[in-house]
Amino acid sequence: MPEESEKILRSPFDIDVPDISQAAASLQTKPRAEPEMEPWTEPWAESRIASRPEQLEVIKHPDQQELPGVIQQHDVYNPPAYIDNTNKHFKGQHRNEFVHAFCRKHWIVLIPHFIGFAAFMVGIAIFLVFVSSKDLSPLMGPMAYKAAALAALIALTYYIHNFFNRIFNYYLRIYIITNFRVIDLDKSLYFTHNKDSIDIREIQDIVIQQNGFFQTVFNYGSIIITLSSAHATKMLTCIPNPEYHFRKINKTKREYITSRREHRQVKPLPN
Amino acid sequence: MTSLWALFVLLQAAGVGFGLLSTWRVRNYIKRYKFDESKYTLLFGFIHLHWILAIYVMTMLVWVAANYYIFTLL
Repeated sequence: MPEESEKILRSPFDIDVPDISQAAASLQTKPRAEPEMEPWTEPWAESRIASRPEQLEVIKHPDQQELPGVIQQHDVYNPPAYIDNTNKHFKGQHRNEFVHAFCRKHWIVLIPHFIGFAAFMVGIAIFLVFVSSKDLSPLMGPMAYKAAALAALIALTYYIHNFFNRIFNYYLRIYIITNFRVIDLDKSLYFTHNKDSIDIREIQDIVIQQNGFFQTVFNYGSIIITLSSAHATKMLTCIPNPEYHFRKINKTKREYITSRREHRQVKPLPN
Repeated sequence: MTSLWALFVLLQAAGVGFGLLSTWRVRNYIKRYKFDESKYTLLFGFIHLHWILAIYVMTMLVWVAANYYIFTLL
């Protein structure tokens, strides 16, 4: 009776468990998938994006709802090893938020600073070439001249740093259009960090304003967004290619309305 | 060293320190978020900001040298 003895020796808790050591080993060696984002959709970039053949393979959780126009940006089975903002496009980005477009102010806002900087450089060159301490000696003593020169150097040093900080601040000020909202991210290097977010469903009306010679020639202008609450308005100034961003906001609004209608659609009762 | 020279050295140290702090803050901001626009945008990408940062550091150093030159000539 070998079979019966075996049955007696085995405890009722011994269950035939498949060998999972290999599966566990393969899981341990499997590299973590890096979370990827959808590429930017700038007008000049669309052709490049279309030419990129690689596709992102995203494993979706069964509970995740597939909404139209929403891209799942995180792989729920392989979350990033560390949590920071490198898998986001901006601070405060929501989980299912997808960036449709972004822009900075038109480069023409930098022109006055560049002109001022060029004038400053030319002024220094003229001073160094044509003016010497001997020319100014009748006006002031050598010590006073040196003190005045030091004061001028302090002012010029401040001007140089201020000029470059303005350029950095230009890069940090961004308008972002996502599938949920329009964001005015007003950030500077040291003093400002404001964020104004306009919900897409709050947008009542959009107006483009391009007035004057420079705005029409260099193709920039203002977008005025009227909100449904108390007819408040939000003005986005010096937007490059305002027609494109106007269409983007309108398209996003239309997609939002369409998706809301689809989700609100009541199914007929079964007979 | 006169008091003017001490002021001059203090000014240069403050200028270089402020420049390095600005550079550090901008680089941190770029690294913190995935503004990976260098691949797609031609005009407004942060790739240009790296160049501007390099120009800023170079200008800072050149300006310190020029200041020293001007101040010793006086």
